[in-house]
Amino acid sequence: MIVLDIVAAALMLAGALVCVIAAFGLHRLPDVYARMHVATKPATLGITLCLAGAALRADHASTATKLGLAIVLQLVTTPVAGHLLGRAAHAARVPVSERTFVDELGSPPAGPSDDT
Amino acid sequence: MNVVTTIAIGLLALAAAINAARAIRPGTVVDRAIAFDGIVSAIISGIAIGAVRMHSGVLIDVALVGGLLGFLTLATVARYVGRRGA
Repeated sequence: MIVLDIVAAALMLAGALVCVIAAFGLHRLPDVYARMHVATKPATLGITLCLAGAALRADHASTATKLGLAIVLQLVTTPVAGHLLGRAAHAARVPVSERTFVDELGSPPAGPSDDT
Repeated sequence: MNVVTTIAIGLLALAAAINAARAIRPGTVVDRAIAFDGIVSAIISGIAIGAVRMHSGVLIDVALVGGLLGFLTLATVARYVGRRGA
């Protein structure tokens, strides 16, 4: 039981740390697409770690099952939401950073002119 | 275990506060939607850890529904942004 407790504690702390680091990344990264890249990490990895740690410490099997279902739903829906938001932002011509070199969806609105 | 859950919930509250600061700062609609999603994910993780702390599985359903609501919100905002522009 002690080993299980330690593993659960490590998972929960790691998940919370991922959430904090990603929140700092939201302030530091240059454009919307990079920020979206960093924002989908707490929504997948952070939640997965926190919920897996909680599932290890759950009192009943039903609680652990619901936590597993929540993990699966997050893993399925978060990439879809990020993809939708990224496509919508590109369609709305949200400018990309000057350090972006490849835009596979078409001409970048404010990107570099020299194409590789 | 109480110490660990306290630290984890404190870290998640810090993450939610930083995300809220990002949502308040000037930016596009997409930025604010992303920051909102960060707050939602911190809340879901906090609910799960709080359930461990309280030894009760009642709140897990709230975490499940919260995750689905976050996805619906992002999809709706994406539709709005795609139609009207950011």
